[in-house]
Amino acid sequence: MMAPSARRAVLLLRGLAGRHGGCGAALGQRCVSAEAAQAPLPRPLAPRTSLTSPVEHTAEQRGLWYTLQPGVVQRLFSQGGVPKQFLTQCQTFAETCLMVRQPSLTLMDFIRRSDLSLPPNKFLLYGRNGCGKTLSLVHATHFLADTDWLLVHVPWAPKWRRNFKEVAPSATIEGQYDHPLDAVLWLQHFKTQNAELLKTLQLVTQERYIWSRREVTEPDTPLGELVELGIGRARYSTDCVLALTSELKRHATEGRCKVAVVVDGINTFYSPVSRYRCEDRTLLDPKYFTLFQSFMQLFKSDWKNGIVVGSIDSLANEGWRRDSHLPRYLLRQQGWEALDPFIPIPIEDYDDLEMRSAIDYYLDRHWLQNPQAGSDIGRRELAALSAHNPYLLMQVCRPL
Amino acid sequence: MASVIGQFLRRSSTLVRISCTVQARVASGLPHIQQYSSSSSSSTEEESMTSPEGGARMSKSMLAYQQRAEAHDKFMADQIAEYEIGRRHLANIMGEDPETFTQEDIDAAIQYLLPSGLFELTARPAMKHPSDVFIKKKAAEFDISGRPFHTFFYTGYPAYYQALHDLGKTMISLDQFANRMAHLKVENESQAFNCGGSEWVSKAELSNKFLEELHDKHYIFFIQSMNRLIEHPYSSRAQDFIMRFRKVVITTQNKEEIPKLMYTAEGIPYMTGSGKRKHTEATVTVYGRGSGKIEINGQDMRFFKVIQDREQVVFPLQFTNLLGKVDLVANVTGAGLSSSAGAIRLATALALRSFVDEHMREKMRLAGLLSKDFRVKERKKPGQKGARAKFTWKKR
Repeated sequence: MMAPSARRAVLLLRGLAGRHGGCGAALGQRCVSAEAAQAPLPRPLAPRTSLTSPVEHTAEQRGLWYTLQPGVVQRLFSQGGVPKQFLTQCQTFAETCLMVRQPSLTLMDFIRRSDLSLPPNKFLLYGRNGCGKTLSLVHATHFLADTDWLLVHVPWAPKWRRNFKEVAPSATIEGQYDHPLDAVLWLQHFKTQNAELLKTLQLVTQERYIWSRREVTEPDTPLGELVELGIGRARYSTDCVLALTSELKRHATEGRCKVAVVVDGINTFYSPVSRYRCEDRTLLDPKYFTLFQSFMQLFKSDWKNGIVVGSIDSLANEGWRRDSHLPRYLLRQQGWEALDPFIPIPIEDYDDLEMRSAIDYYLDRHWLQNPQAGSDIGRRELAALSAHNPYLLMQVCRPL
Repeated sequence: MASVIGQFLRRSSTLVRISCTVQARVASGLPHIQQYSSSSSSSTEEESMTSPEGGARMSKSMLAYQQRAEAHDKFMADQIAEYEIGRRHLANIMGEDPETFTQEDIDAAIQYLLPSGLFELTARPAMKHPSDVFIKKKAAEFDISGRPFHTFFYTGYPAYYQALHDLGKTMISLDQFANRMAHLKVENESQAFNCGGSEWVSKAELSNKFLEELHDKHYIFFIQSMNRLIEHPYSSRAQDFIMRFRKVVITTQNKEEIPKLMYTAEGIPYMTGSGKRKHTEATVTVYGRGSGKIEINGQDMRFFKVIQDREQVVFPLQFTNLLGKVDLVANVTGAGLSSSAGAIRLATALALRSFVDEHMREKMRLAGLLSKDFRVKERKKPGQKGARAKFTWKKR
């Protein structure tokens, strides 16, 4: 049995040599020895793994690219969750591939080993811009979906604070504010993600919800119907979300399901300012958003059979509070006290293996046209210009 | 004998040249072209022989001429005496030995005592020898009787044509030598004059040498003739004559000392370099045996947001193929990201000189990596909108 590092090296080399026995002709290039000096370097194949489910990913797959099936992306990330530029790139490449990296593997390992009889573990990813926090969350979300976790997924939380469609004062709760349209969209997202699970689990409401004189949701109504009601009636959608999350929390505590809360940009919940202006011309504190409160109740440690996976992103904060990428600074006192204790997982820039793998992927997809891109000097140049950062590498490679 | 002939000449209005007079004059020891100071001694001799008639007309102008010459001589002598006194005073002021106070020392002393920021260097205070300051004039070209000293006086360019005649004579003698060598069947290796290390004087310099204002055609003909002389196989025998009209050019370039690599306590080689661009200064330390880390003011390459600036920083490493093999630590001060990048690039290149061999250093120099970019923002001029832009031109 080979050591993981040796096996990894073999897989990479195999990619370099070609699946058809190492002959350049099979890759569609001329094997002319006389012009070998001037011929372009043989195009390496991307180091891939055929394991399409993150459940099977181990340390051996580190640095390899796994393909997400088209159905997965549509089901799990129809309303976001995957960065837009990455999605555009995936459309260009006609496939959605993710690199298996160590932080994701660590996170999945922690999730597997979590004791669900205790209050939920909070795994918060943090790192500098462009290191791969969101894509690690995508990997984790895929894993959670494949392991039958009920997903409560917030694709990009700051959207509700700074880019909401509509905020209206709440009809039901005094002093709070609703997101009618955003809540509808989220409920649709929840439904798409968890359609199968909801059918199998057959969870029902345990409380009575009175929406108006005529509209009432009795106890023992399937949660699916509650979701449909929220989608249909925008007026009650935010309260629907609140009801849904409360119900799920109760069901999880009572052991009927396991709930995973995945939030990208979790530090935005503890920001003091939103875009909404009250009647007295002040900017509203987002703690009065009912939608925010629905999820913040899940961050507490008073339920079981749950897990919270989030990313602390400096871009989720306001522009003047982005100097550092570290959790304490971005979460502020408020957020720190609410989320502490949590398990921080740092996301770093690419190391040498990952950088090589990334450039091999671009070469495989015919994205790097310069014949020197795959050469030693070319790789070193790309590494230096992008400062080993994944996002910057994408930027640098765009015109190439 | 001389006096009789002199009287004869003075009476006749035409200036007639008789060979005996030339011989007589040579016998009397009168030099042909001489300084003003020495000519005065002969002129007093002649003056005493002027007769009041026909000679009086000529002698008045001659007298005036002589007086002018004497006055100039006296003036120059006074100036030189003053200069010498001044030089000794200056040496005393500076605390130097007056005996060994050279012109370079004088220049340095004046620059120290009277510092000037004027852009026009010739307008700055200076103390030069009077012979460098005052225009040289030709010595007496004809004697008191009006007879010119030089044979070629009436060509208008006596010194020039004398040089050409000397050239001709030299050519003839070299040909004779060559014939003798050929006759004796002596096979010498080429004794042609070596042109390396020297070049022809310019037209202005030649004019100064002859104290005659030459035309371009004179100069061109002269140089062409001299070139023919140089082409002669035995022209090195006429080296002294040729070198009168050539100036030595220093061809050896100053070999800049490349500093040697320094070593840290752990034995890692490193070198520092500093560079400037516009008003930004950068100090870069390049560590050998590295892994390609780049640090700028404590941050990594993300210090530069624009890809162009990053490429500038990376270029010297790429060029020398040391990218990924050395570490870079840069400190940059001053505003401006693009100029910071340029300053870091220069500093890195200068530091990398110690890591590479001679061949690569030459390639770096040719690539322009080692040259400071001296472009600075141009001054705005009054009456214009900017440095070059003019205000809107209105036809009426």
